[in-house]
Amino acid sequence: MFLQGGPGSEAPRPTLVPATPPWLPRALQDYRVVMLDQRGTGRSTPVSAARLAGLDPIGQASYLSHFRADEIVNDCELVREALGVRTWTLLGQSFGGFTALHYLSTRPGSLAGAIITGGLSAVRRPIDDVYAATWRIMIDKSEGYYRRFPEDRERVRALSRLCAQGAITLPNGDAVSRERFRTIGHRLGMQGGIEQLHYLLELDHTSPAFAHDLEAALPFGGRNPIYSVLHESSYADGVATRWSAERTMPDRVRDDVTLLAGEHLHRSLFDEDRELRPFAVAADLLAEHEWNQLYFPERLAEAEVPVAAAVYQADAYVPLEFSLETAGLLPDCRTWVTSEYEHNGLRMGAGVLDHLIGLLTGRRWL
Amino acid sequence: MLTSTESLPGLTLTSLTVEAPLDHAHPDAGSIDVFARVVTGEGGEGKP
Repeated sequence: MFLQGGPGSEAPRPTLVPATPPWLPRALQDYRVVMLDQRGTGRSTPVSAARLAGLDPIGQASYLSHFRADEIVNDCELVREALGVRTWTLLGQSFGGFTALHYLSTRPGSLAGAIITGGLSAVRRPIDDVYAATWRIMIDKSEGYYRRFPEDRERVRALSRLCAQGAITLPNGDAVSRERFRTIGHRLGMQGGIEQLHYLLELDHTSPAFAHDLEAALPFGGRNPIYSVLHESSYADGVATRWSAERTMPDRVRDDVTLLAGEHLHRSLFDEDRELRPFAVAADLLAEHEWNQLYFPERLAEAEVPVAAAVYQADAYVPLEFSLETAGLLPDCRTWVTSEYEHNGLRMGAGVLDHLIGLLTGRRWL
Repeated sequence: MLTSTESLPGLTLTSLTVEAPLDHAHPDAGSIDVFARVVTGEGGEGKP
């Protein structure tokens, strides 16, 4: 069972020409693969502004509160039962790994094993600690970017100034604020992202190519509304989020527009993106919502399920320090720490999955 | 549960849609569809 990153993205559409996702042929050597369109995405009943239009903001927030990892695990169990399968092995990437942790916390009896890539989330850590850590990582990644492409620092400064003047717009006409522009740093957390960002910034900012490629580089947008509405809730383990990314932004970042952001949501996003605007009031209500606990250390300690996990040394989204702490909570976690990949290592080919299947099956020693 | 099967080069796709409660703690509070697809490679029918 493949649990997709996100939240709010559907499973990849499988094909072998070319291999999509790139790890699929390797997975099929050992398994049949179940691709789940997590609730609200893909061919599952979609979350959309139109569907929520008939509800008042409290009703909208209440509806949207049911799209977290706990309900996704409940859905997985329905699918598992419908397929007549007694146990299965999870492959959880990023947010899918968070979901796998909840699965291990609540339904270990349904699991033959779990492979987790860039997805060992912090357990029982304050959400602000997680965002503070990812801000620090993004400062490092920004500085690394400018070491590689020194001239891009001035380019980012100039484009940020244009954003402040309302001169940078997306294909739909939405003006991009300085804070939103900063989230192009999201690319820096991905393999190859440094080059992609450079090639974006070298374009003439008045060209249609720039507008479209900028839109594609921004993490938060209208296509996957759940991602914007519930992203912070992924780290809310029994607390409210209260716009944690915005609150924990370091002064150094606030004062320097060239320090880029990653998966750092800013509240005003919901005002400036016309497709997210219908979710603005519900997003505010959900930011104050006291979420239920998702991960239980004592239950994880009892989950006698083999786990093989890739932890990326410089992961921009799921910090190393918390991942290792969480690995330590699991009774049988075979952890592979590597600096060879960024957060999207799984998608780089068959290598990561091959390594982890080896660890899970015992074909490869730790 | 609805199912259907498609063939792609080298792959067999079995799609299914299950009805799930919006809120598993309160099954009366409405339901949504959840879609999943089982991907099987050539000769993979017996694999877990």
